[in-house]
Amino acid sequence: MPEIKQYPNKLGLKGWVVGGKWGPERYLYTLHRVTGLGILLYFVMHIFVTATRSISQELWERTMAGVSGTFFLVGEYLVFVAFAFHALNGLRLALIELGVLTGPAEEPIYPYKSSLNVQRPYMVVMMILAAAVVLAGGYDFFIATGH
Amino acid sequence: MSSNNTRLWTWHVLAGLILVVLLGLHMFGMHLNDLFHLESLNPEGGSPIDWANVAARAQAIGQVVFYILFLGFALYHGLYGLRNILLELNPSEGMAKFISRGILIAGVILFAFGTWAAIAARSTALAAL
Repeated sequence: MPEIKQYPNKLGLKGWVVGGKWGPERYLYTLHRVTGLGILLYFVMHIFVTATRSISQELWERTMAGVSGTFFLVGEYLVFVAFAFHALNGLRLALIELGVLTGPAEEPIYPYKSSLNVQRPYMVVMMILAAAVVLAGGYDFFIATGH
Repeated sequence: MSSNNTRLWTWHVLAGLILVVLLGLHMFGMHLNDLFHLESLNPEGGSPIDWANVAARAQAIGQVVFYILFLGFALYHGLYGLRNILLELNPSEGMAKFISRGILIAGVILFAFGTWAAIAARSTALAAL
């Protein structure tokens, strides 16, 4: 029997930027992963930084003073922006995965309907919501200056 | 996808949905406080990271439970996502096992440390009263 050459069908990191015919959802796919990795990196550091509250008030205040200033404020805002995007895009993905946003499966009858066209309005709504959260965060971080 | 991977993936999706709520509450309490005035999360007024607010949150048993749940779901969701990304790079079978086990061990250690921190912070805050 001739040997069948198998392809792993996994593009790895290359697939993040050259995955085929691009639509807006493809950019969101890449952005979802980049923001996810950024949030994870921040979260692991956050666990250690906030653990200083368990030792003493003095150590907590010294640590907070060490991570204050414009650099950290802008960095923290970028994490907030990543959160807003990742959460709302992730909500869209989960609702699609669970079939909530796509409806029940139908028999394909010509002219075929693209599921992408069913999903796309939800993508637009989620991105508008994400932009609203990003703007609200910007007001709180830089204008209300409660930090 | 094997049934085990299907189960892990389903938990990843469910953890993500739970995190939208838990992380959303955390972000609104910490970073949208001036806009929404969530006084239950910052009872002493001022900045959410002022020690008085940190201690007030740390004392509340509900907050301790919230932090531990948040920690568990966030670590699972984040580390499982990282594992999937790394396994997509087509590592050898041995390397794939190493990645999976390494991430599992890192997750357990971080969860144990974060849980200790949440519980110890309550004791520290109560002792400072």
